[in-house]
Amino acid sequence: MEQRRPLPAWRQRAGNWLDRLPVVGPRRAAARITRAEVLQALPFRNERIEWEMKGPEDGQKTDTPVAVLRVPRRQDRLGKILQRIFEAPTHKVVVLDELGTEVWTMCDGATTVDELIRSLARTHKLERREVEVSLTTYLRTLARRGFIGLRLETAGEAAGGRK
Amino acid sequence: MRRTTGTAEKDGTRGEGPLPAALSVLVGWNGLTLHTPDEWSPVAVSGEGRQGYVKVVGPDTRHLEVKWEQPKGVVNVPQALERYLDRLRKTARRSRMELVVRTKPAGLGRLRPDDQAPIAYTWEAAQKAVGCIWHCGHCGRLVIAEVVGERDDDLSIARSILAGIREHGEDDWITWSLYGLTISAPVGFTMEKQVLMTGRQQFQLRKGGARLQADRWGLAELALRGGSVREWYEARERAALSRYAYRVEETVLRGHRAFRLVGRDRWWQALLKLARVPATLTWPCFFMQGYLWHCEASNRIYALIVEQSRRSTLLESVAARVPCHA
Repeated sequence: MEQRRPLPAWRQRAGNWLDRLPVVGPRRAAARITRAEVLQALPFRNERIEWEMKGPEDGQKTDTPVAVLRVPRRQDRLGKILQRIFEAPTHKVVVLDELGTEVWTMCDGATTVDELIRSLARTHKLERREVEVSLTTYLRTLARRGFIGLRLETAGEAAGGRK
Repeated sequence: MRRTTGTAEKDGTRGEGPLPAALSVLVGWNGLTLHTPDEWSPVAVSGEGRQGYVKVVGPDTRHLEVKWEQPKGVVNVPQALERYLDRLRKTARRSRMELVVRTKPAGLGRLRPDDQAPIAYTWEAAQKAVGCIWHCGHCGRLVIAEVVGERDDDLSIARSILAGIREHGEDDWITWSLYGLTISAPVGFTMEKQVLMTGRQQFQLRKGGARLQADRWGLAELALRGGSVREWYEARERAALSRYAYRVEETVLRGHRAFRLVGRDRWWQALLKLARVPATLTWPCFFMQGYLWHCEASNRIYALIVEQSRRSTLLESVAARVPCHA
């Protein structure tokens, strides 16, 4: 049986304080989410983001209306100072393309990722796998930027869920 | 991967009756072809030599795994199955599970032709599976195929999937089919490159100096907005096409308006190919022909480019075997 070497004395004295440093602290295993859980996740839009549909009549260069998002800039102290110095607008505007708009409108908190995949595959006659791969990457990008959240419904946790 | 609704005989699958309507997706790799239910997708394919592996997963927790090899000498199917089950037992022991195996279970009789010496089996541990092992005397392949799922999954579909597997091509034509692109190439063509990107699937096959490239793009209605398929293709593939001097003719292919590309390598490209001859010991093909068409029914764009000798009819034979819509 393999035995773990005891920590050196200085390390024991330092206690939990060092564990907070990312280099020295213990590695935490990332929470593992299965494919089945991801497919049943419910993407929902960030309520702080204002958005509207704009078409060619509003000056957009596309034939069909696309989603135009107004994403608020950081409102902490540093953000406010930088905003004042550079006279930056309070919001940045993000224009989604047609497919992005389709996904964005379906991120309503009631449609699962699996339903999104099926819908896109059916509408655009795509293979399920290619939709699954590209959609999950796109949703991850949106989530990383804080545009959407993903609610994972677990058994016995129908209401609320965990994010 | 092609969606099909035809009969087993028409699709080249074994069995007496028509395929169940649920088995609509065709996966083909190096001669092995199989049909899976709608929404199942291949996630792993490997092997162009004597061994190979295909894994197709469903939208739920079920998946299909097929392994094949071409062993030399006499093949003993029961021994091969026992070797495989021993490996499974070892894995189960490591995870402290008990593996319950049943060979020749009821309901799985006459799964494959008798001359293939098939043995059907089921196993159950953390997961469960329904599988079959057989040896084809025609191509010499020993195939193990099984549908795996969680313990509470319904694996009744396994029978039709396993019965529909073909382990070799027909009439010296090998089928390659993944993600909506299905082509058949003569025996001897090997996969040089396979690309899957969002909305694009590509196969590059080679046999000696002859080269065959097939592309399939999805989302055609978005790609072709405001332009023709020829303009779109020439703009997109400008770099690849720059090596040829070619002309374009309009024609009809499988009921679609198509473009036929006919040309040959530019002099510098031909010189490059000739310079490689001492290394490859293969005489290159300098002539190029191709087809480009937009299939409205499947919302896809297809391109087929063949580098071949001047009088070869390879392109026509391959193009006739590319199904773009049901």
